[in-house]
Amino acid sequence: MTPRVVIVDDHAPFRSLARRLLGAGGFSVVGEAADGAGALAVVRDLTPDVVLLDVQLPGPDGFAVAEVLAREPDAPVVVLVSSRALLDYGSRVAASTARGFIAKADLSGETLQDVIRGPGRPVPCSG
Amino acid sequence: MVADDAALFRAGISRLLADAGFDVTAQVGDAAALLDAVDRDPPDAVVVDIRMPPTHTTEGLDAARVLAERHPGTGVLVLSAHVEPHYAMRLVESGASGTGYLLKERVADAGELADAVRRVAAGGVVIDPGVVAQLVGRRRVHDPLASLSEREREVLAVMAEGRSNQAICERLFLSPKTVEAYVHNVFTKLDLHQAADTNRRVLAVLAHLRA
Amino acid sequence: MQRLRPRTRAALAAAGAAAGVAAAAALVWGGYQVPADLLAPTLVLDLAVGWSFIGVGLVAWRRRPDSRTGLLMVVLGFAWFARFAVAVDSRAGFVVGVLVGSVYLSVLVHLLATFPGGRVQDRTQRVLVTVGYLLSAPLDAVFLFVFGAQRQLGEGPPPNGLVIAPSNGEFDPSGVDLAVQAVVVVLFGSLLATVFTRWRAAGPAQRRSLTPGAVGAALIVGTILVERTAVLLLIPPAVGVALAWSAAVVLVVWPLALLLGLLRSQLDRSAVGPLIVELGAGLPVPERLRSALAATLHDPSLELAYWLPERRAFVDPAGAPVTVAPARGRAMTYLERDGAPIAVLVHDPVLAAEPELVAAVAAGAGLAVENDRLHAEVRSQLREVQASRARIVEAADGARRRVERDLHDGAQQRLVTVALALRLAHTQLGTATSAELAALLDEAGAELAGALAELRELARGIYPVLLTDAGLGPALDSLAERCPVPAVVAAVPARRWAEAVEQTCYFVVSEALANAVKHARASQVAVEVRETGGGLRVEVADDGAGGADAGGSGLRGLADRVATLGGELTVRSPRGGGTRVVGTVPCA
Repeated sequence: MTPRVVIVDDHAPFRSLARRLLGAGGFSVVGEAADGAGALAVVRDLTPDVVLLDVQLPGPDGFAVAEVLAREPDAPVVVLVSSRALLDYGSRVAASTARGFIAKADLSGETLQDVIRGPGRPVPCSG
Repeated sequence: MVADDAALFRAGISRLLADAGFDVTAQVGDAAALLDAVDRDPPDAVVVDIRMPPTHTTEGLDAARVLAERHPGTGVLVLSAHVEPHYAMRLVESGASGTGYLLKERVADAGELADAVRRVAAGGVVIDPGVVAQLVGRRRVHDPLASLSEREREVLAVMAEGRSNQAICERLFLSPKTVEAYVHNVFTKLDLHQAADTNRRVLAVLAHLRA
Repeated sequence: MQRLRPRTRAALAAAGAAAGVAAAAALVWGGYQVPADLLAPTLVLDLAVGWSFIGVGLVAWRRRPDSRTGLLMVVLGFAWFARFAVAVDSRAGFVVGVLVGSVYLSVLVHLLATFPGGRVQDRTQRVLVTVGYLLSAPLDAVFLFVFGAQRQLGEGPPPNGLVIAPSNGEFDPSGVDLAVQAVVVVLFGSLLATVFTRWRAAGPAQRRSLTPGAVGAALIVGTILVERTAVLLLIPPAVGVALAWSAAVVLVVWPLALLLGLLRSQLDRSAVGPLIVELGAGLPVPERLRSALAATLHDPSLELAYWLPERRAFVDPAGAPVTVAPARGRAMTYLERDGAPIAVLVHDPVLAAEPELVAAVAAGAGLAVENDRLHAEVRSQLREVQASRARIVEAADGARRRVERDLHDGAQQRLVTVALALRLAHTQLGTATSAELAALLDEAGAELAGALAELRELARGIYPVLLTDAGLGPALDSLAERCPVPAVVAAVPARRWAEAVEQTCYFVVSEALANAVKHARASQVAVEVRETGGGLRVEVADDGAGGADAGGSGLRGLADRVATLGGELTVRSPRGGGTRVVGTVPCA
């Protein structure tokens, strides 16, 4: 089964491109949201396997949203994305509930796949 | 002839112009080299970056003024990153025919660059639409442009870019007679004198917009 | 009260001496018989009391022309001697002696009730003084003419207890006598209470001059009270005699106590010398001058504030701004130099009664005050500079944060999108149609154009290129052309100034325009730049809502910025009356 992905980002052109990139890279993008509240609603509605979550969101940032999503039943794997670099966030990404981090410019089906697998972490099996 | 201190950009422009059918006779990296090259072999037109060594301020504008005196037959198109009517005005005010002020990002459209170079080579004036838009869009207390109809304002903007009546016809899909009527209306409403040539017309319109 | 002229003083002193001699003569040769063992003590004591009051009174009069105490003391001394008329064995002598016999006590009451000013100031004092006078001559007149007090014949001691001696025979006070004595006791009791209350309420400096007089007064009044109540308490006559003697002794000492109080001021004045020496001993440190002045003026609560003319404000010795306003129980003395105020002393009001002392201290401390004021001014400027530097650093950090955010959220975001679009195009080269690829590249182009526009705006916000290339006028024109509110720039002198001057003026206009757009809801803004004598004056006036907060971060930052060039920024923004920001920047 292709993993089902929800993209959360307030920049619409990015969502549109990411949808096509991931679609071409073996993922099925099932939904989009522009902020934390929208993300929670979409995740509850669609129970995706993966949430691609922008760190800089209007309102609560990606770290806060990731924490909320982690408490959901059937919590999805959260992968943070940002136009900033991983180093810009210091240890915050490691300390967060997210599976990993991808710099936006590096986004592709492959990089997402790598992060989801993670070192020693099994890919969640979707129903 | 192309003058820009960024070699990659210079090469890109030269390539675009060559593709558009121009013969790029020289590529130089600063104003002094440009003046030398033009003195040796005056071209029809020069494309010059406004900021070049040594001070990276307005070398391009200064070179344009010198060229206008020494080689009135050579058109000068100044490329700039700044939407500043002040620079455009300085070019036009120098009175030389065949000058232009174009934003660097326009070169993304090869057709636009080629068109501008052709126009300055032919002795015309080119003012970047972005600069004109800023002037026309300026908020004023008693806006004289308020008395113009939308069509007249479009005609005014295209005039300010340095287009001839003929070009206005093509751009706005109007008949020469209609364009002439619009131009007349604009000048009457703004209380401007009809200028003898396109260059003076641009100057008058820009000056009016900046006042 | 008028100053006592030396000639008048000499005349009064001579009269006092004569009065004493006359009183002594009356006692010795008046016709009554004074027991030999009592004559010498009586003479010595009575002359001492009378001359003491007259002499010390004259000194006090000269030293404190503002107070009537000196006059009252002189009067008391003369009244004291006048009693001796009764010692002349004649009807006239008896009548005069009886009538003026207790006037000195009334004057004493007057003196005590109104000390140290000597003037009746409130109801209590008026009642005390009036009752005091009614109880002397008027009451004695009643006794004399209504009850027909009889003169004893010229045998034995003079009447009216002029010479203190045990009364011979049984003492059997009448009801009237008892009533009068009771009133006297109440009067002196109230008097004592008044004196004590006033002493308690006095500040340290005032207490210092009050204490000797007050202690003496308490002793006198206490003795008189006991003496008078002795009659009521039926204390044995021998004790009464002892009390009467001690009351007289205290009366001699009391003017001296008062003199001591007065001399203390004189001592204070001689302390000005050491003060100057102390002040000259080293560099002034905050607090030192104040404590030296406080010690010299015996007012620990003394406060010192320096006037800074440029700031039009008072600051404390540490340079912190203070408000100097009249307050209850405090008096202010302004120290001036060349007619301009340099400092103010806030002190115990009693010092105001000694302007000479304060003036002497101020003159002595003048150089130190001027010196210390300069130090306070420097400290004050330093505080302001430190605060302003902190704000400037904060503002710069804030601006950096904004630039970082704008770059990331704007241009970088778009460039990332372009990168993704190009990658997508690359992966789809083989599969997509050329129309699809063209659409993708157009998308990338649009994002790039957006990124360029944002970068351009950002760059211009950081620094306006025209300012360096073309000067203040073109830069301000460009600013006005972009302003969402119609802005008119009046002709700017077409010349160049120092970079810092041009930048500061530019940012004054730019910030003021931003405020007019964001907060003032203005419909038009006028910008004017003029050359003044020593600099450049920029004025930005809008017709908006007014009420701008000059302490807000934007305007505060501007003021700091202008201040770094030694200029000044004023903001006038009455609610509903538009906002006028005027910056003046000196330029050499």
